[in-house]
Amino acid sequence: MVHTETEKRPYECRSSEHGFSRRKLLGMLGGATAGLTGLGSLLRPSLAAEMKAKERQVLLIWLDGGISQLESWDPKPGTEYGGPFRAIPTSVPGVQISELMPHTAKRMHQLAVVRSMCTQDENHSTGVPRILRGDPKNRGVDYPYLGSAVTHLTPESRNGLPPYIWIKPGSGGFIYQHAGFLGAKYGALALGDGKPPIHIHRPGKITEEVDEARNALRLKANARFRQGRRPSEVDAYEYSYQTAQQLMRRKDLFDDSQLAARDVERYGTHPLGRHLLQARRLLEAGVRFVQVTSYHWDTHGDNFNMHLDLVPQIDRPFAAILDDLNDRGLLDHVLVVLMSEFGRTPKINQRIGRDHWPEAWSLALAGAGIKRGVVVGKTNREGTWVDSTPYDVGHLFHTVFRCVGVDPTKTEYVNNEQPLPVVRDDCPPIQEVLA
Amino acid sequence: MASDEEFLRRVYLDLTGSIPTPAEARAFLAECAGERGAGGRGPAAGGRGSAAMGQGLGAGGQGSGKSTKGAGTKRQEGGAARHTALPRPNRNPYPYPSRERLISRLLASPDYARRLEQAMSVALMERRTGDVVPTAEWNRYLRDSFAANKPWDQLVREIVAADTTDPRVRPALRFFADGRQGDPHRMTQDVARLFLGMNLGCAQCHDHPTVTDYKQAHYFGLYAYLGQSKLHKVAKTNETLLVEAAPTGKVEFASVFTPDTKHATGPRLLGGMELTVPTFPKGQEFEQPPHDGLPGVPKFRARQILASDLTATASRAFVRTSVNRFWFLMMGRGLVHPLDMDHSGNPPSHPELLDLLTREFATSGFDVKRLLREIAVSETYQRSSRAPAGIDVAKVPPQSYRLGLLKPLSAEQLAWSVMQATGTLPEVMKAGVPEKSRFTYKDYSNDLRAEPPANLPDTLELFAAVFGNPPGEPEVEFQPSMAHSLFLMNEKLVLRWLEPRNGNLADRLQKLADPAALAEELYLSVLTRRPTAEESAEVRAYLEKHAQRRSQAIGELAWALLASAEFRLNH
Repeated sequence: MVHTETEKRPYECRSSEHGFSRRKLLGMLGGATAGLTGLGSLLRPSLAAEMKAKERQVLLIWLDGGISQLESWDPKPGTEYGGPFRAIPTSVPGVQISELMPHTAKRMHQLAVVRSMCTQDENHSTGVPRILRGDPKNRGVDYPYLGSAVTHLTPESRNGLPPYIWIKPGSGGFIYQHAGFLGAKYGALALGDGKPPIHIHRPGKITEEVDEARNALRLKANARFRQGRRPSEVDAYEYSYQTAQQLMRRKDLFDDSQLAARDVERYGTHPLGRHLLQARRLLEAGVRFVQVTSYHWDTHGDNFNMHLDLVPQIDRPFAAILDDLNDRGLLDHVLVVLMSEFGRTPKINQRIGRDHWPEAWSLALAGAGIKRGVVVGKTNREGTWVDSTPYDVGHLFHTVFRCVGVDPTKTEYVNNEQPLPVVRDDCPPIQEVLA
Repeated sequence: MASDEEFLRRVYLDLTGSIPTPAEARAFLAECAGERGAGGRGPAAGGRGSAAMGQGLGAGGQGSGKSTKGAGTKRQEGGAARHTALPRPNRNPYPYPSRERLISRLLASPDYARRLEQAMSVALMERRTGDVVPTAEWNRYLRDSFAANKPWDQLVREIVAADTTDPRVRPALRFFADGRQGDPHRMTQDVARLFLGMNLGCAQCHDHPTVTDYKQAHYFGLYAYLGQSKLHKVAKTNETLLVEAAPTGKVEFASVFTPDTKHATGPRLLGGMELTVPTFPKGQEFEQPPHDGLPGVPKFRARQILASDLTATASRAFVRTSVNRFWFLMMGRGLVHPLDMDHSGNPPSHPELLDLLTREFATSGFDVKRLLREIAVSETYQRSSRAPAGIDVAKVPPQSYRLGLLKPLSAEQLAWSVMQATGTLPEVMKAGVPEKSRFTYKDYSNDLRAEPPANLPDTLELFAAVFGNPPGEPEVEFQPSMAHSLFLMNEKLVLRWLEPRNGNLADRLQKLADPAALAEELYLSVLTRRPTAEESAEVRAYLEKHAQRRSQAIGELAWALLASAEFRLNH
């Protein structure tokens, strides 16, 4: 089955989403004063009611380069493009996944797998940001990445920890680029190979007592300055110190010596294992959005040996973190998303590799707001095309927002007085996965 | 009105990009005290009047000035012009000659050019970088332009023309080449945003959904001036140029809502006449045909026409948004705000004032120094940021300018001011700069390089990386982040600056035995004011409590002020 452009991607910049009147919006917000980040943050109070219940968190596991759906969630053994691996039964009767994921197969009853992802863009460099921004239309602004969007749209946590932490191999830092027009505050705190930012460490000369003493002086100075002045700037500045101090107090979150040997063994000592274990600790501590990125999934050559090596590196720690979140009762609060920027071509190339394939691929969801033990959508016999309702990244974003308690049809960003939809309005959520 | 101390810090930051040295602060405060009798802190009603003081800048006042006839003014250098026939709706009732003299001194100082270079580089480039024009060349070009008080229209003309044949203006190419990669759409959007005050991003695809003034035809009228431009690398010299292709007629466009209805426009500035794009017989379209690997120079070059038409005195949107941006630079909020949303649905807070300044700026020949001076001497600029007792701050809208607004220090102002306050600026400025610096913030922040920067450019890079906005994000609002505070708390460079060495702040302080004298030196050096009795007592108590470790305690006292909101903000 081949989709025509218009069938598959019916999005032009439609007028309905612009039908929102700025005046109406401003009226709605009337009486409020601009807070820490301008008008954008004013949408929060209206969300607060919606969010009253539990604080939802997100774990996004990103397999950069593109895991093959055929060697993971959507095996097609014995078909033209199926490859050498078998399919094995899972804990959900009738559902099979690749034999490369035996541990995950036993937790299938906790997962919702979508086999009908059909997205745009087969280039990494443009595909990754496009997917992580929810594929917004060109509105002349840079949309925030999912992590920045979720932390902006959900209420500030009381734990004072940075709300968006990105664990990745290589270097770290404050990755404000993810925040797009939301402004640097909503960027990611990236932990290079799980390590915290250098400035979290107090130089030896400054003891805890000294730090308290100097900050007490600072607070007194701020209290004096605040008198008779607009408080918002002073308070925003103070808040940035509180967050910093909270992170400094929680250095234990980055101290590997405190890890149980059994956990290290269960998750694995390779980067993905260590980083997922780190993610568990951050989620336990209440970080709103944790992204774990693993690179090198771009198997243009020697696809099968590479997946034989790579897939177990996600299979075991993924199973382990599902168990741990479940055991701690966190799976009701934490949404888990496991995905790439696209899948891989069913057709095997001359280097025994698979190339980029956004047309028909799979991802897995679990946890908060997600139905357990379902498979949504299917591909055709050879796995070349989606053979059910295709889902684009817009559908996924609607789904994620629903799961964290944000109604994208009632929520807008306001950038420079311009209302902007938080996600494309032409895609409903993937209803079949919603609990 | 702001106290002399408040005014002093503010005007130094705004016009030189740094707080003053304690010696400069003392000298000015003594001058003020002498001027109106000892101890005079408040407004001196009997001061000598100055004709230029605050004329026309009565924001928040009645603004009822009716246009007087014969408002023509002579253009004079150095901002010393007096234009007597202009309306003066709200003249500064407290003219302080000492303040006016200080403003003149600062505008004439080399620091003024550096401040404008830094501020305008951030405003124009929005921290985007590239490798066509080296940063140092662009900075020098801007600095020289502001040092010479190059008329603003000329500067913008050079930027839009991007004529690379003249080596003196070649760095202007950076705006389009490195800031917009020579992409005509990005060029169009940013010319509209920065030089016309209109965010036309939406209008690329359709008329703006909520701003009725912003039409797709406006976007493409502007685009038609720029659509023929593209970057061209000359193979032989490896030099990059922004060339223009020969014209091909009108630009076609259609709204995405009605893709079948095609429109066409030639180059046209908002509301102006559409230019006729001439057609030439094949082979005759070039003034200078292609040769030696250089593309031809067409007879009709729309971008060159844009450069002069955009910046013409009659180009009201250009003059107005220019004034609005300089006003924002000084006041922390545009008369039209947001800065790039100038349209009838978002009127200026003080339309008469903006009109007056707009006329003034054009008739003065786009004299930037004079404009800044006029703003700086006004009562509006010199208002205190602190509400008098009994006034609820929340009830004073920011757009009334009745209270001075709290402006965040830019990364550059902050770097400069921290160095100035800690007395380390002379040492850092003296440090040799290697031809090619190996310092990168990425290495440093990932612990791949232990040594903090020692020279000025590297230090500025460190501060810009921590405190600047991401590339492409305008710096308008205060957005403090955890990264900023972690840096100030634990960055070893900052803490090292607080250790006593060679006459720096800590060194000077530890030699002062009297706690009151120490407190005064500390407060004047860091916060540009003398401490209150309470603050002085606090210093004394802290020193007594930590008498065994006095040197470190002094560093902690200084740190607390550096890390305070009072230091972080220009108030």
